[in-house]
Order: sequence, then structure tokens, then C-alpha cells
Amino acid sequence: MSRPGHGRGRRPGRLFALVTVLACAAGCAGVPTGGRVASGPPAERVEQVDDPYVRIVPVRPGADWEPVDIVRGFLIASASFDDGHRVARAYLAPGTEWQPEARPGVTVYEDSVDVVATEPGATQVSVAVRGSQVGAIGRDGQYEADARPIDQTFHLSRDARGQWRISGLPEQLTDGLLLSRRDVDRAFRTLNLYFFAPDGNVVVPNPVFLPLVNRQDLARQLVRALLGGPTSWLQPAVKTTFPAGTRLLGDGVQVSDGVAVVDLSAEARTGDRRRMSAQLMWTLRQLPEVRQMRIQIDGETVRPDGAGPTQSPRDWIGYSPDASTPETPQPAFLRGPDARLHRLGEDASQPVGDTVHRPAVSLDAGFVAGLDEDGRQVLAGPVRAGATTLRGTLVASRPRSRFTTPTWDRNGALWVVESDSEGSWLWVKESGREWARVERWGLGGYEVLAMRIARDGVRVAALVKDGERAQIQLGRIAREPAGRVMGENFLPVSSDVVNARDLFWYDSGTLAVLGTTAADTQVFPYLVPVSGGMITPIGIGALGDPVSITAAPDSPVLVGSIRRDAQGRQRAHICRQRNPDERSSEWLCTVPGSDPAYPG
Amino acid sequence: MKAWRKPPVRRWLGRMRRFTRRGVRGAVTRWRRSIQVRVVASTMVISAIVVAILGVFLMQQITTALLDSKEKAALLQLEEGLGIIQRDPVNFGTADPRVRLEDIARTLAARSGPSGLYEVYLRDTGEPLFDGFATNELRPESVPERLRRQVAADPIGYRDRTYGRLTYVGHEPVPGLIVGGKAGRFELYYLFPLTQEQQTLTEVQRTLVGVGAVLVLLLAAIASIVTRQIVIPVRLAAQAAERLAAGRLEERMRVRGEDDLARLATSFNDMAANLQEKIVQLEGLSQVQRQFVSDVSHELRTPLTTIRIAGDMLYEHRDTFDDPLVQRSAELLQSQLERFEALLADLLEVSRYDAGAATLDAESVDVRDLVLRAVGDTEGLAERKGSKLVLQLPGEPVMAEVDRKRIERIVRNLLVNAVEHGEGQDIVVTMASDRDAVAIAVRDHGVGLKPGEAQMVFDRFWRADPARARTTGGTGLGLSISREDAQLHGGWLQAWGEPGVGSQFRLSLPRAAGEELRGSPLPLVPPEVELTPTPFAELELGE
Repeated sequence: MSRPGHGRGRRPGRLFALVTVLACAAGCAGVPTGGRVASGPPAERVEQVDDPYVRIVPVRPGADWEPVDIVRGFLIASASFDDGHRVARAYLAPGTEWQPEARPGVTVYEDSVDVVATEPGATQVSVAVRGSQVGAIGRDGQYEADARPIDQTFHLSRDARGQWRISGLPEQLTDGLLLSRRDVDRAFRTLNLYFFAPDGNVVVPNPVFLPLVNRQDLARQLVRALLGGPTSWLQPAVKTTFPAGTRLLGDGVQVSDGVAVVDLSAEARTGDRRRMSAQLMWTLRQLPEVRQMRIQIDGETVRPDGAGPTQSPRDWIGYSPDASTPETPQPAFLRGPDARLHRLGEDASQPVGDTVHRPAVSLDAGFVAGLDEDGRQVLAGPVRAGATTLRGTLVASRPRSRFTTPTWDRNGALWVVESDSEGSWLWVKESGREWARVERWGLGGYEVLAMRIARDGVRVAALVKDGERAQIQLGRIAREPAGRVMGENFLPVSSDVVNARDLFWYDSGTLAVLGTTAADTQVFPYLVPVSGGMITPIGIGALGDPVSITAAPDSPVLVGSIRRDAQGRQRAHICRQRNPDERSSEWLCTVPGSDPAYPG
Repeated sequence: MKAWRKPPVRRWLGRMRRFTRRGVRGAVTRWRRSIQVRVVASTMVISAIVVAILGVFLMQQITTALLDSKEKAALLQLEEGLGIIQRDPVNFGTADPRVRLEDIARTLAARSGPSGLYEVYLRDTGEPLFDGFATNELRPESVPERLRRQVAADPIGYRDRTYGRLTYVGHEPVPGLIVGGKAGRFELYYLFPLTQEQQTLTEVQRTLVGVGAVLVLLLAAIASIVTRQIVIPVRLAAQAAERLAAGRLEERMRVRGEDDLARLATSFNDMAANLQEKIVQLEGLSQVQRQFVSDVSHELRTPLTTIRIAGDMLYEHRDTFDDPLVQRSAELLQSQLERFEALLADLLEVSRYDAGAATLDAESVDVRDLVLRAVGDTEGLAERKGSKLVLQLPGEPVMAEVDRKRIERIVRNLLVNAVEHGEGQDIVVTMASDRDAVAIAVRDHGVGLKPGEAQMVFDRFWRADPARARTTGGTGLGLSISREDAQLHGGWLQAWGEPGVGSQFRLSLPRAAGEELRGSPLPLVPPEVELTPTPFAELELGE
């Protein structure tokens, strides 16, 4: 209630206030043009994302297509996995058996095939598909290079409406696919399954090809493949901790808010929960949308020792195939200008050991192995400054053979390959034992330029001389039940590095390689994924003539290079990037020395 | 019983219906009775409508603005994509067209970035064996047929856009904006999911609805407060007026402030004060008058007694007067003195009533006796007039709690009145009773009453024919006093009459003194008359 005498005086005041409020409100309806600076962590991705990819869109057979076009169309359409090859099935005559399952066997051909009609007829024709096969993907997802000619015959007949349809598939294709390399690149993903090394202390990646039927379904496919066991290539070298018969229950792996829920069947009860979880977590963490994981056995959430019911990748970092965690920086060693073993510091190096060529330091940095000057003797001993600690342990057995740089595995075994132009031999010295030659050595017929054991102790990368070029190949070390060691099953790592000079394991999935590419004949360091993906050059700028490389997870890549100094003399230097965290940071060659070596 | 029990659902429904009905009835009642409810309800309805219209308008504006900018960005993107296709002409001579097309598709897809801003669908219309390439999980069906047709039909340089549902392999479809264009034999479509926009719009909509609801409630609250400020003084005024009407003349409204309502209160108070003054004045006047009449009656009594004694003496000795003229004068004096005395008695009675001093001396009596006594009193007069009194009384006693003197007086008055106006015809006295009431009707067949007179007969000193001589010595107060007597019993005295047919007076009394009378056992209009109604029959049903 307004008091007498005040009402008249207050009205203009109210009007003024109203106008002010309205003006403010009108001013607020705009984009701010100033204000304080907001800072924070990078925007978190809300949805699952990875790099965009493309899918082919096939067409159903048109009216009155010739038999040759039918076969061509079928081959193109079979590269589309949508809806269980629904479109490709339209090319088949009713009743034709064709079962390209979720993980089919794939015959991979080069770029194109010739399709020719061989037996023309009024109601039946045969069409031959000829070309060159480059390899095949097995049902387990293992790719094997296998170059040979393709000559497959399709039988076609007219259907009720007078249209040609495929009535007989080549036997090889009744449960498989014939795809070009591009089709495979497009429709398949290479992902790792993780299994345990025989000692059960470290997981080993097992790359497989999975058809990208549906991006949402990838987690389920991965877990299915993981439960299916390692591929034929890695099978003898690793073990899985899932009890036989373990299946995935329900409709796959549900991922919501970054948490993947894996429901295993009751058989998993008897398994080692910690290691099963580690395998699943390591496998699933490859998918960007999975940040955490929960395991259920028969619908019941289980919590393994040492982790909560919702597990994160950190819980199982101890099983890392890189055998080191980012918290423990790796010491770097090199052969100093005085030919002794040095340890690399910030700007210079200090001698820590005896005279040695091509040193290799054990993973605990306690022992060093190397070669003598002409590479015909393997020296080994503890890392200790100021004394002659190294002694010859192994001498070359062939007149012109040389040793590659020795390599240590995580069990402290020392491996070295003796090689001449005719062939190669693998030697191993397990701790506390004498040198022994490995009888089953898959590269016995080739000259080997370098060989490195992965930190998981199972996989082996080797540079194999193949004619003029040195090719990167990946094999595995397995032990027979009797204890005999096998170094076998070498497969070329399909990569763009055409000629390699040296290699080192960067991390469990990547090699650091010195080599040339088709586009660049200059030797340069590259990161090469062992799965065969895109290679990336490391750093920019002049490196001189790089000869050796070493790397370790989350540590700067070091390159031993020979450069001419101002006087024109060749001087060996160790090069590293100005800022190792940046891929494209420039190389600086300041530390004199050669043969850089991280432990391994 | 069991068979008749309603199933629970129906019972529940019935309860619901009853509840609803009660609620509706209550709401209607409140709506009718309360200005506040009406004002608040209509404010809510009107403001809700306005807010809804505003909200729809606002949503449309926002949607349009959002989609417009999206469309612009989409068309720019499409332009860029088409540019890439045109700059990178497919060389069919050397490479597989599929390879080149795939490379372009990859390039275009890579530009959408990691956040999946859009999907690309690239078609090669010149290639029969396959359709083209789509990014990620996009299904080609996402590009609707109408857009394909339009793009195919468009001349070079035209761009088309439409909205549709983007369908995917393996996850739910989402609404999307689809733009398409042609570069040579290639058709390029960009598909922008509008999930973000949808979310924004949903959020805006939710906010608008919330704000609208709050606004409506706020307006309703304001209306409620404002009307309260108006309604409460009005209600107070109504209460004050009611109390005033109930006779509490000292009732006043409280005056606060100096607004319109305060003016209303002031003028109400002025009116009340004036009324009170006038009423008090009138009461005083009437009091004075009544007192005067009473005093006059009393004062007249004493000289009248003396005159009466003298008159009686003269009358007794009239035979001794030689002059017949004197003799006649003595007789006249005597009769007029009697009349004067009766008049004075009636006046006293009337003034007693006016002063509210009349008391009921009720006892249980047989009403028939009272009627018979009254009939006995008037039989002489009736004989003189040549009328016959016909009695229709019940056979058994009719007991009622009445003041015997007053009832006798009423009946006597009615009978005298009937005899006087009966024109020598028969006078019928009817009596009837039921459980609650007793009724006595006196019917004559005289001149009757003209329309409107049935009410006036009870007025004091009213005469049907002013010119008529007063032969029977009626004071003109009889019927008035009778009515007061009847009302004192809680009964009714009513008259009916019709010119030429006669008249009937009906006295209705409750059997127990002080009870309310609900009806009469006898009709006011005689049954034989009611059977042949005359067009101008008038019923006077006053109490």
C-alpha cells in the first residue's frame, strides 16, 4: 500500500528502472566481445571417434547385364559388408551357397583382375577371373603374403527372368571373398589382440585383420576374436588365459560413457581373472571410445585382485609389452669418441664401460654386449667403468660371416644373428648358460642385416636382404614343450619403407627404422607400425648419413649419423630432436659418438 | 448381493466420476462466487495463450536462424567439395575409376575432422558397376530419392538441399541436413547430422516452457494479489452492508488510506450514518405517535366512563322523557357510546401490539368450542341480518395450543364481518385439521372483494365502501387486530374474494404454539369456485 504523498513522486523512478532493465536485457542478447581468458584441459571427445573412413556403395545387378559385368559387379559388391553382403547376394542365383561370415577368408589380389568369358552359351556361361594374388587373410584374421596367380572360374546361368546370375562360385570363394588390396585397406581394420607371453608376465600384441562391418560392433568383434585365441602365426609363442569354451554372452560388448561391459560365459570362472582382465583391457583400449571396462561372468560383475569392478588401462600397465612404464626413463648408451661405452647425458656423455662396437645393454642396464671391431666376435660383460670387463664369448663360425648387433630380451637372454651372403644363423645365450645355436630359424636362407627382439620377448624384427633391398620382417620366438627354441614364421611387414638400414623397437607396436621410401631415396628415420599401417617420418632437417638408430617408449629417438665437419672430415655424431615430444621437431647432431643404444 | 457387486474397476471409475463431479461443482461454485478466482483464472488462461504464441514464435525464429546458418555452412562445404572434384579430374585412361573416386572420397571424408561434422556420399553416375562411396556408417538411403532426382535434373551449377533422416549401419537414424550438387558425372552429397541442433532446440524449448510456466504462475500470483487488494475491502463492505441490513446500524467500515476503496468506505459510512439517523428519527417519531395513541386512549377512558355512567342513567330513564326526540337522543347516545367504547378498546389493543406488548396466553383447547362460542355470540346479529350460519366442524375434538380469548376474538370478528357483508346469504364456517395445523374458514356470499382488496381488508380503518353506513358498529380495526392475533400464534390470516361471488377468510394455526406453519389443511379459495375459475380470480397469498 502506497503511503499518501509518495505515490506521485515514485512513478517516474519506477519507469526509469524499467527502462534500464529493458536496455540491459537488450544488451545481453549478443555474443560477448570481450571477457576473461578461459583455460582448461583439451575438449574431451563426447562420442566415439576415429579417423573418418569410406565405404563403397555397391549396386544391385542392372537389367540385362552381361555375365562379365555380373562377375565384376559381384566382386565389387562383395567388398561391402553391409547387412551381411545383402547387395552381393543379389548377384547370386537362388540357392547358391555363399557364406562369407563375419570373419571370412580373403584372397587379396593386386590392383585389378581380368574378367573374361570363357565358355559362352545360351543358358550357361563360365567366366574366368585372372590376376595375381598378393596374399590371403585367414579366418583367424592373420595376413600372409602369398604371391601367385589367380585363375578362378565362375559359372553363370539365366534366372527365371532371363537375367544372368552366378550359380556356381569357385570352390575357394564359397566361404570367402576375393578382394583387391584397396578393398582390404578400406573394409578391414588392423587391430591387436593381446595374449600373454609364456611366462605370463607381459602381454604380446597379435595383429589381426577385422572386417569393419559396423563401427559400433568393433568392440564385440575384437573380444570375439580375442576369445578365439591367437592367430596361427603367434599361436605357438603365446598363451591365452581364457579357459577353453569361454564365450561372449548377450548382445556383445556394450560401451556407454567410455565404459565397456564384457559379459563372459560361466566357463571363465575358472580363469585367472587378473590376466583375463589384462588381456581384455589391453585389447579394448585400442578403441578410442573405451576408457574403462567392467567384466561380468555369467551376468555377475567380477573384480579381479588389484583393480576395482570398473577397470582402467592403468590397472594393467604392469603387463605392458613395452616392459617399462613412462615413470622410469630409459638410460641411453652409446659408443663414445674414445670407443668406450658411454652413457648419454644432457649435452655430453660420460664413459661407463669398456671399449665396444655396436653395444647392446640389457634391459636392467646391468650388462652390455657388443662386437669387436670387425664384427666377428661377440663381447659381453657387466657395465662397469674403468676396467676391461668385456670378454669374447662367441666367435663367428663361418669364414666371411659377421654378427648383427646383439639384442637382449626381458629374461636376460642375449640373442645374435650370424650372417653372410648365403644365409644366417641365430645364436642365443640364456642367462647362466652357454651360447647355443637355434636350430629352427626361419631366415636361415637369407642374409640378415639386423635383428631385434621385442621387449615382450616373443616377437622378432629382422632386416632381411632380399636381392638389393633390405626388407623388414617380423617373426616370433617360441619354445617347444621340450624347451627347444624356435625363431620362425617370419612375415614381411608391409610398409612403404623399401630399403632399410637399421631398426629398433620403438614400442610394442612400432619400429623405429632407418631407411628409404619410394618417394625419398635419402635414408631417414621413420616410425613403422608392425601392423603395416602408415609410416611417419621422425623429425625434420639434415641428418647427414644415418647408420644406426635406437628408440624406447616415450623416450627420444636417437640416431647415429656420420657428418662431415668443417674440415671435411667425417665425424660420427649422435642426433636427437630438439623437442622429442614433437614429431616434426628438427634433428640436432651435437654429441660426438656412434652406435646409440637404449636397453634392449 | 454378490451378483450385484460392481467390479473394482467400475467402482473405481464411479468413485472417480463422483470425485470429478464434486470437483467441477465446487469449481463452478467458486467461479460464480469469487471475483478473485475468476480474475486469476482468466489471467492464467490469457497469459498462457499469449506465452504459448510467443513461445511458438520464438522457437520458430530460433530454429530458422539455427538452420539457416547450418545451411549456409553446408553449401559452402559442398562448394569446396565440388571444387576438389573439379580440380582433380579423374583420369580414366590410367587408373581404375574406383581408385580415383575412393581417393577423392577419402580426401573429402578426412576434411570432416575427428568430430564427425558431416558425412559424404560421392556417386559416380557414369559407372554402372558400383554406385560410389559413403563415409563411415552412412547408408546411401540417407539421401532421399527426391533429392537425387532434383540433383540429376538440375542444370550445372545448381545446388540442392533438403532435410531428412540420416540412417546408419548399426546405430539409430538422426535428423539431418542434406545438400547435394553435381560436378560432371559425379554427384556429391554432404549430410550434416542435426543432433546438436536438435539438442539445442530441445534445451531452448524446455527452457521456454519452464520460463513460460513460471511467467504464467507469476502473472496469476500478481493477479491474485491485486484482486485480493480489491476484493477484501469489497467483501468487508458487503459484510458491513449485511450487518447493517440486519439492523446493526452502528456498523461502520474501516477507512484506510485515501484511494478509491477508502472513498467507497467513507461514502458507505456516510450512508450508514444517514440511514441510522433517519431510522432513529423515524423510530422516535413512531414511538411518539404510538405513545400518543395509547395515551389518548387511556386519557379518553376516564371521561368516557363518566359519560357512560351519565349515558346509562339517561338511557334507563328514557321512558320518563316526554319528548320522544329526547328519548330517541338517549338511545342514540347509548349506542354510540358503546361503539366509542369498543373503538377505544380496539385502539388500546392495537397500540399494545404496536408497542410489542401483546403476549400469548396459550393453553391446549378444543378449537371447536371456541368456534361454537363465537358462533353463539354472533347468531343474534346474523338472524337480524337474515343470514344463516352453517357449521362444518369435525366430529372429534381439535386440540391446539392457542390463546383462547384471541382466537375467539378472531373468529367473532370474521363472523361479524361475514354477516355484515353477507347480504343476508348463508355464512359457512368450515373447520379442518391435520397433524400440524388447524384451519378455520369463514365464507360469505356477499358482494365479495375487488381485485387488490384482499390485502387491503387488513389495513386499519379500511372500508370496502366508504359511503356505506356503519350499521353494525364495526370499528374498522377488527381484521387488523385479528391478523396481529394470528401472527402472534405463528399462524396466517388470509382473505379471498371475488365480486359477486363472495369472500372467504381463512385462519390457519399451528397446533403447537410457536411452531412454524408449513401449510393449511383448508384451501383459501373455496373448492366450488376453483372448479369454475374466472379469468380475473385473484389469489392473495400473503402471510
